[in-house]
Amino acid sequence: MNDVVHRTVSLDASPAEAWLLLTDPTEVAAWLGTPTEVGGQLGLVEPDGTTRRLIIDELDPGRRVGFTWWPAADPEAASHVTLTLTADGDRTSLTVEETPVARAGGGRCSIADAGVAWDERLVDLELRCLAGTGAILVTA
Amino acid sequence: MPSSSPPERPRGPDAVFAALADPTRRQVLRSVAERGTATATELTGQVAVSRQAVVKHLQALAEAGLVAAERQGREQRYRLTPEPMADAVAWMADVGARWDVRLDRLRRRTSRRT
Repeated sequence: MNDVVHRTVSLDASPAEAWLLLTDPTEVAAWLGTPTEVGGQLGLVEPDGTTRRLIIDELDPGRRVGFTWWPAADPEAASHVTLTLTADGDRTSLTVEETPVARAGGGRCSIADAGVAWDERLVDLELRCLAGTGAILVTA
Repeated sequence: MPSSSPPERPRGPDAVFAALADPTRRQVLRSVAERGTATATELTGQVAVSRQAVVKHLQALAEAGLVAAERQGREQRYRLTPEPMADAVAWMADVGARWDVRLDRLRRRTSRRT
């Protein structure tokens, strides 16, 4: 998966502790959202009250979890998230990547296309450069 | 007014990011942006691919709603349609801001335990 939004934080925790933060329901509730069930599926209620449905599609215990999630009220706004842990001395780095997911029937721009290797920072830069031409500012 | 092709309905940030996944396509888009408008013939030579490949890239960009075509003689003339790009930038800003808030909560949670 290629990430579009990319964040890395250094956590004052060992990789094992950090893994609990990502997977233990009580820990998850404290920062991401309260795990719940929506129609028999996994879900999260975020602190702002948004309910998201979530399908975990990648699990590398202790290291990486990937899921597709979307607001229950807006299934078209699905995106894919990966959370990756990397040991960093006595701390642990958490990297978050989130990419919008092509909707079913969304034409040729499918998730398969998104498999092409590309540098998300280049695209980000590209978008910002084009925004800088004023093209976006004029019409936004 | 020259006849316009019907505007492609932007398909959301996923389509924009997928269309921009190809470096040559990004170069084609940049060239259109720099020129204001361009035909495939005008862009051939600016990018290191054949005119036929440029046409394909322009069509892919049009499908993502990033450019719109107007027929000019025997060619299509393309211009930038920046709304989907603005939407994609807004998506990145919004999703990024949400993660900043979440990760701030997470960071505060871990630093409290020491």
